[in-house]
Amino acid sequence: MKHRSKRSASRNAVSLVFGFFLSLSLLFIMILLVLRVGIVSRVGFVSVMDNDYYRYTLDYIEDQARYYTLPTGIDPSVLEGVFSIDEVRNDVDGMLSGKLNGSGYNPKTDAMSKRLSDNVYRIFAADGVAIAEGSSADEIVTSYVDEITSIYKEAVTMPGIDMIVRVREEFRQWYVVGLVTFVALSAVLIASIVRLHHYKHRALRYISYSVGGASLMGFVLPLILLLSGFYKGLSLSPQHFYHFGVSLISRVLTLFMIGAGVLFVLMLMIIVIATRMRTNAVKKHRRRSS
Amino acid sequence: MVSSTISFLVADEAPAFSSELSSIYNPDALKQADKPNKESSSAEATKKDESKQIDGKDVQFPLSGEQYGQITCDEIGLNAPVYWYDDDEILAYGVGQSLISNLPGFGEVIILSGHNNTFFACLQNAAVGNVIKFGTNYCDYEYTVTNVQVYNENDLEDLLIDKTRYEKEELILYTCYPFHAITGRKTDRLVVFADRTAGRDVIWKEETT
Repeated sequence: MKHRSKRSASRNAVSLVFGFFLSLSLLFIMILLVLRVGIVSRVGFVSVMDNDYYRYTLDYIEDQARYYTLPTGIDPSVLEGVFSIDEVRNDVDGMLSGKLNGSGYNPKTDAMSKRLSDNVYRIFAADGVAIAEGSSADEIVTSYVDEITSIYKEAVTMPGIDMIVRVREEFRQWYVVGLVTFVALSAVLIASIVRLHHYKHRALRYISYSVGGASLMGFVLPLILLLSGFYKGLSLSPQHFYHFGVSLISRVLTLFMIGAGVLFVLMLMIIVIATRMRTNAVKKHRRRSS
Repeated sequence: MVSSTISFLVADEAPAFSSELSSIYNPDALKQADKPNKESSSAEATKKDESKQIDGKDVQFPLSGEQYGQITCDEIGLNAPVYWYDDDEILAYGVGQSLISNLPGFGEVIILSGHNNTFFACLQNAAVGNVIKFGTNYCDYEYTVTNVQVYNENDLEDLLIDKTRYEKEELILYTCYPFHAITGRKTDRLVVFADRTAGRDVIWKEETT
């Protein structure tokens, strides 16, 4: 009797250890899936680019163009009506898609450059300053328009996008390996726990602990971060990039909580199944006894 | 080390991206200070009015990028906020003060710069004898223009770091020159010099125990 009890205790201890590793394995699967859906997938990445991102990008372009224009002595009113939110949106999306697909993209700046150039000539003409074609003044205007165009091109390119693309590619390579490894590990651990127990509802009880543990670990920290808004103090700039970073983190944390919710539901289902199995086993045992 | 790295990357509050610069300047501050205080005795009020000096401790010093005053000259149409420091962003919103200079009232040089197509476009009309008003929270000052001259940017730099210039209080305003011309990078500066003709001195009074 004492021998059986000792065996049972060691079986429970081994089940707890396996259950702990199963919990970690499930958590890693959830992390991989959340990162895949929230950051690495093109849809997940682009969905963070809302209207505010384009508006802040446009504000940034206008500010930078103004800061460049003022010391040149050119009237800053030349910038009025030069930039449009629709063009910014198209070029930001095009640039992002080009970078993510590796196909490249050249922002369409011809119309913007033409509007700026026309404004400069019109305003100087209004001040009585004639700019002859090919003159040094004409060259200065051309280089001014080129500089504003390069400010625009730089602004529609998301800061750090090349590094983000590299990390994304690296993640993609390891994602499948990681997912297969952790799924296989989870399967082995589940099979081991099931094999350890004669009554399978007991094995399911340990598995439900693991699923619940993974759910809790994936829920608590994101919840604390979301509620505290700690990540909103991130030192990112300019404003459109800050907005993108904070929105992306917020989205990833929300996905973690959704993932944790799915695991929680799974845990409840396992508990229900284990309870039914136990009830059936008790009935069966009573039938045999009588 | 970990906590200092985190505090470097993540601030306590979300960063402010407002295009408005902050201000400590309150045009009504002096009017409020001049209102008679019912609780103070008339003798004290008289003593305060007669005082020609301001204690440095009563002056609120601006932070970088803060507006601390307003400069006006009706004769040439000058009306611009004055910010402490003079980078590109600040000069887009007003005139900026060089950090090698001091605030008005301290008996030293005050160097302000602005763009010639915005706030300092009116300097092209400046002439000797124009009166420039400089409002701050602690006193309203007046400066009378003594000279208007064009310098090469390198010569101006030598002039501004000349220590002998710091022996008296002088307001120096400068902007790019020429105006309304497409010359690419401008290497000349129009400089306006003005001496103080009204306003109280600021001194550091010794604390009495």
